[in-house]
Amino acid sequence: MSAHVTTEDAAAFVVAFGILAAGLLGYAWHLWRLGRRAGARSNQKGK
Amino acid sequence: MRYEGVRAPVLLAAVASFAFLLVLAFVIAPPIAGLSSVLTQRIFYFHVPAAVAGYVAFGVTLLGSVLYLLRREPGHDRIAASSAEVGVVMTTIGLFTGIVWSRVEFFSASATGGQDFAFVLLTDPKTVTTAALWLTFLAYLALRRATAGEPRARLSSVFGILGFLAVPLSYLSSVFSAHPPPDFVLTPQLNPLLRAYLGAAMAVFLLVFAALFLERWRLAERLEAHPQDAEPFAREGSR
Repeated sequence: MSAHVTTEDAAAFVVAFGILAAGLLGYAWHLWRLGRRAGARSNQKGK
Repeated sequence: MRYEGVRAPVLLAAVASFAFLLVLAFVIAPPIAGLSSVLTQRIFYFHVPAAVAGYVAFGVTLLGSVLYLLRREPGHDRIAASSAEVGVVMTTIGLFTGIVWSRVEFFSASATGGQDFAFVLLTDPKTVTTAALWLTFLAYLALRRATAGEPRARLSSVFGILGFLAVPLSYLSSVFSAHPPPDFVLTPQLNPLLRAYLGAAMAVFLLVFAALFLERWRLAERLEAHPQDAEPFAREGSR
């Protein structure tokens, strides 16, 4: 196997791991926003 | 929620084990023999486990949907919906990282053999059936946004059960595809070390799935009084 990193390989690496990071971090952010909303609802109900 | 006590430990274990998986994939694991990409091949330890975690997630959706139709308990519908949402995230990762990886690994400029990559993708059974699975459960989430109350739970349970049929189709389609066969992990030809690393990566992704699912399930229960908030991808301006 050649140990040479091609431009195509480097670009695909960035895109593939970008998809992974965007998927997991994006969903974590979505859950965090839902959690904040749920907390705000609970506080409103508590007043 | 019944499993409130395990949520935080599972979340911590998922974050810690994912950090370990990054080290394993980039530092510990040697390059896989026979693959031409040097960097992108490391997605192997994320692409396969994410796809498997997606299948497991849709299996939980199937279970929740069947239980809902049998017992009509809203809690089972919430389990099905929470798992479907995480399953869509996992399948998105599995599907699109696979497309990018195959582009550089098998269809690089020197290896296209005159074939157009888009044509190859659209005629590849594994890609097409997995895209169908992904779209099916996106439609499941859209259906949940378009309906409400008991009809939403009933309709989406039926949809979830029928939609699960796409899972064995996606899993088994690699028999007819250039994609490695479903049982390739178990084949004796596979390097035992590689098999162990992949097994560890799958365990990590199942843990990540469990953590995200438990969190989503807990939020679904908390937002029960405001069902519009509990819906996947709810927009700020939609209320």
